[in-house]
Amino acid sequence: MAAVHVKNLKKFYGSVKAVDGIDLEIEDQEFVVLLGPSGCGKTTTLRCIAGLESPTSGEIFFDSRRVNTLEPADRNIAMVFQFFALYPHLNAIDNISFPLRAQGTPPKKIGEKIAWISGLLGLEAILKRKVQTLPGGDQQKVALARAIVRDPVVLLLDEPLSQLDEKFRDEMRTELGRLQRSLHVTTIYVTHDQREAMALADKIVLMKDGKILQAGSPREIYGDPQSVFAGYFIGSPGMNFAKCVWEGDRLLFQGGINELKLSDKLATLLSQKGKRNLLIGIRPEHISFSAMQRESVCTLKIKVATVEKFSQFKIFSFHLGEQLFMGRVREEVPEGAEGYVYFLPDRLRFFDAETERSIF
Amino acid sequence: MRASDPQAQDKIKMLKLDGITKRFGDLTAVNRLRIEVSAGEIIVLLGPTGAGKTTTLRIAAGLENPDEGKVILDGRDVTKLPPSYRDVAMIFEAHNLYPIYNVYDNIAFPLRAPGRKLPEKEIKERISKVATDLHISHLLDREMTTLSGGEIQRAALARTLVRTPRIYLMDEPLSNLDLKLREELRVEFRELHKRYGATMLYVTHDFVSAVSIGDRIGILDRGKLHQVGTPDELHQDPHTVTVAALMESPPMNLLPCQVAGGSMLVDQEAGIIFPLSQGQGAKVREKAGDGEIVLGVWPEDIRIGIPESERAFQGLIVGKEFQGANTLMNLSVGKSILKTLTDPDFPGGFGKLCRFYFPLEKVYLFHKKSGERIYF
Amino acid sequence: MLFVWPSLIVLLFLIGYPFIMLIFYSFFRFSFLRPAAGLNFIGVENYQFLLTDKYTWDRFIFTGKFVIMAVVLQFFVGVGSAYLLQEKFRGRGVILTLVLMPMMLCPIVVGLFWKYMFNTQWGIINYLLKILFNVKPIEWLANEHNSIYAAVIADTWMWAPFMTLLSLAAFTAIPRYLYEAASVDRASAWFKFRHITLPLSAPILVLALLFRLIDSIKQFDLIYTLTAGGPGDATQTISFTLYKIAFQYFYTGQGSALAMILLITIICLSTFLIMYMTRLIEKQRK
Repeated sequence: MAAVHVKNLKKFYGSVKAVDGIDLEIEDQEFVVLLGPSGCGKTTTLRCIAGLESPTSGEIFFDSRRVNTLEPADRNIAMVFQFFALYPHLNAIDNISFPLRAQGTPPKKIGEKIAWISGLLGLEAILKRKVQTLPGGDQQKVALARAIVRDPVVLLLDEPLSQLDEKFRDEMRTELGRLQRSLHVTTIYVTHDQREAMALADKIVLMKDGKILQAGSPREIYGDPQSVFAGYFIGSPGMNFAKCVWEGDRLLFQGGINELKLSDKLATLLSQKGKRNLLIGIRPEHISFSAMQRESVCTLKIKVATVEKFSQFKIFSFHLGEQLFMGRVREEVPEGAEGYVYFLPDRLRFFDAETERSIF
Repeated sequence: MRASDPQAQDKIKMLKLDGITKRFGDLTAVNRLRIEVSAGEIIVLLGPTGAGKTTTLRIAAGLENPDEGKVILDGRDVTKLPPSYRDVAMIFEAHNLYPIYNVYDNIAFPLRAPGRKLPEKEIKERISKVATDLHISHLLDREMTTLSGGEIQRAALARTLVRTPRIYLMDEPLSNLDLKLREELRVEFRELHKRYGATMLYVTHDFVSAVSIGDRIGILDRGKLHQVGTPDELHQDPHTVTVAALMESPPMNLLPCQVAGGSMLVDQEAGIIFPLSQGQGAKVREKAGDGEIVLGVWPEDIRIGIPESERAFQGLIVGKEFQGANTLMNLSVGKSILKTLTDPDFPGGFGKLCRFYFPLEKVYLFHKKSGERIYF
Repeated sequence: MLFVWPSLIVLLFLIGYPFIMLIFYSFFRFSFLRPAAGLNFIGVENYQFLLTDKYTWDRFIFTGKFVIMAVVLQFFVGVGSAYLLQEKFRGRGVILTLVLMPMMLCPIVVGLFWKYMFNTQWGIINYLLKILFNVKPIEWLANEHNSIYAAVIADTWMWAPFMTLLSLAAFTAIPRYLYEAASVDRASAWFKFRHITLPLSAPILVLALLFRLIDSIKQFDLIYTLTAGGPGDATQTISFTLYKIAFQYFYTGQGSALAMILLITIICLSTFLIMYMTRLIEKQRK
């Protein structure tokens, strides 16, 4: 168990700034997810913490120990890789016990640990099988077992579920959460899948272009995105955005083709901020649709473009200016229908059009 | 482009796979598969890895020969014909773009193939139209190695769409993309389809893609087609337990169950008991014989947070996943875990007891061994 | 399909015809030099003779010794050097080129200059041995016990680079993250080699072995210039014997029979190795 501190980490590959100044404070036993699109630097950061890459500059501490110069083997970490990385010709037991054998653990203790971990992860049935014959999900479980069995101070996972079928992914997500809670080990998890981040993390660190955009609990980031990217990236589908101009009493879209009246409270707040060129943001579940106009403010007349029907909800899309907005509702919405959408005023968010940072 | 003539759409079966069976050694990859794709329709084959989806697609394309059965394309029996003689376009999971050509030449490639050659002027028109639709017009003269994953996928799509075959065969074209990119492309896909009116057989293991893209979905598992229908049909009336397990995310909750004491539907461990009428009890006993049955209920049919005054079952909260617009709750009930969706602000933390309920009307019964649905 | 015909015809002529004639002649006592003596059909007598003749068997056994020693040595040198050359380092390109050069030389040339190098009195090998280890001059080529070692060394020098090349190709195909996971697990270099590198490169290594095996059995040019089969017939491989029978004694019939026997031997060995390799590949495919 250890807290991890990363100070001003930078990693450049020639002129490419993979990681450009990252500060991380990870508490002991916290489950932190580094979340971001491909190429944002999350994997590089993880590898620096693991010791598989050496930082261009910056420091990494486990508790108060500076680990920059330590080999991965000496940091007492464990890592689970995207492509499983199991010893191909060994069976599951030998794979899992390998780190213990490498440390010189007595065979009796090894047996105990294997029994414990295979009970925890439900591996009893596959222990004797050669790992190459196992399906992806089981292979990843073995890799996970191998990592956990060593009692590492920090557990690192690099997109461990990305190679698995959707079904397996859902199951493993639940497993992982349950596992981490019972193991009490500091965990750093890298993914581009925001559902995994939301389900598993105590704290999400959202990254883009080598920098941290926002860090906070899933609810914080979901409910209060500080940037357009945060709103867009988190949530499925993400937050809707559209460029607009605040004319003092109403919002104009695309040079006046659509306009949105706001409630008095919102209008006052917005005018106080003094910005004109804005991006409006609203999450799909805060948009409702009705054939008739019901409200006088925060409502627009639109035509429904497409509808995706899931059993618990429907996702309908409509054009607002050049943007395609998505709404999420429980009732049926007919494709091609004309009607009115209503944006929940309390959930409307505004962003500066240039900086893309949140205004409120 | 196949313009959709509404009446014709009902009648023209563009692709018919009739009793297709394919074996690889001991393994029966595809088992007497029968499916029809109407003109202008998108059919999605949904199933886990190894279900036989790719094999089915390859048979439809002509890359594999079926051991039994026929492939009928627009009325013609093409089972014996090699791929180049069938009028299909296929997009593979690992895209098949050539790194030596730039994007434009890659997309133009199928149009320049001997035997189907088109004049350059027409090629240019088609490419610029498809490129605009897929938002890659600015990438046309770039080298393949400079593109990002999403751009490569769009280029691969463009290369398939630039032809106008009778049917498009798609093998998980979106699976290698980041989640966000996949979401974007899914919606674009649907819009594209409406505009092009193309006929497609699309294969995936991702349920969300299946439902958003497909007009009808076929559930495939271990080579057998369990059911074909619209998402609603599959949801309201799953024919087998496999269908219920593959549809939706999270899938149907399945609990072991028995009929006991003459006419009760019971899940002993969990304490879930439903009284059955005489007729119902008889039907269930008749269909199930002495075998065990499985009780299924959709997560959204479970109400939680029932007040003390009403009848409810009890479970322990063992998992809570925040999903943004809602929360996924895992309830430990007897030996099973029930999943249900709630509002994100639902109170109740780990280890707390939770009162929940679902009515008998929402219960689905399945035969444990065969997985077949028991109607009662 | 029409494209193929011209090449097919040439192939048929150049390979098919001689091959059929070979089989034909093997059942006769016949000599190219004395065609007037005529074609005497003797059935399988040629084969019988060759397979029971002690002299021929001694040649086979010697060839076997030579091949095994050479191929094993080439394997270790090749795999070992590939292991060292895996990581990128400064000057790697140059070293790699140097390492691969011996392969590109003509076997006759190689045989010749090794002959000079192995010369007992003024060859450079003995010279170096003297000044480095103070070893008395070794009779390499004139001594019937040592000449096999000279042949093996020369052959290895020339062909180990082939093993290096193929091993290197196999090693670089192995994904790095497997090694990284092992590092995190504190695996030793030997453990990584034994449990990751070897199993995953096994199919290609077996393929390389197959090539070398076949080539070594056929080895002629090198032996011809290095030792001419000598001293006496101490280094006479079976191909050399074939040469003598067919082109020194001109027993065409017998030579053809020996060629057939050699062919069948190689086919059997290859089949065995290919089956093994296929099994390895299939195990990996799963």
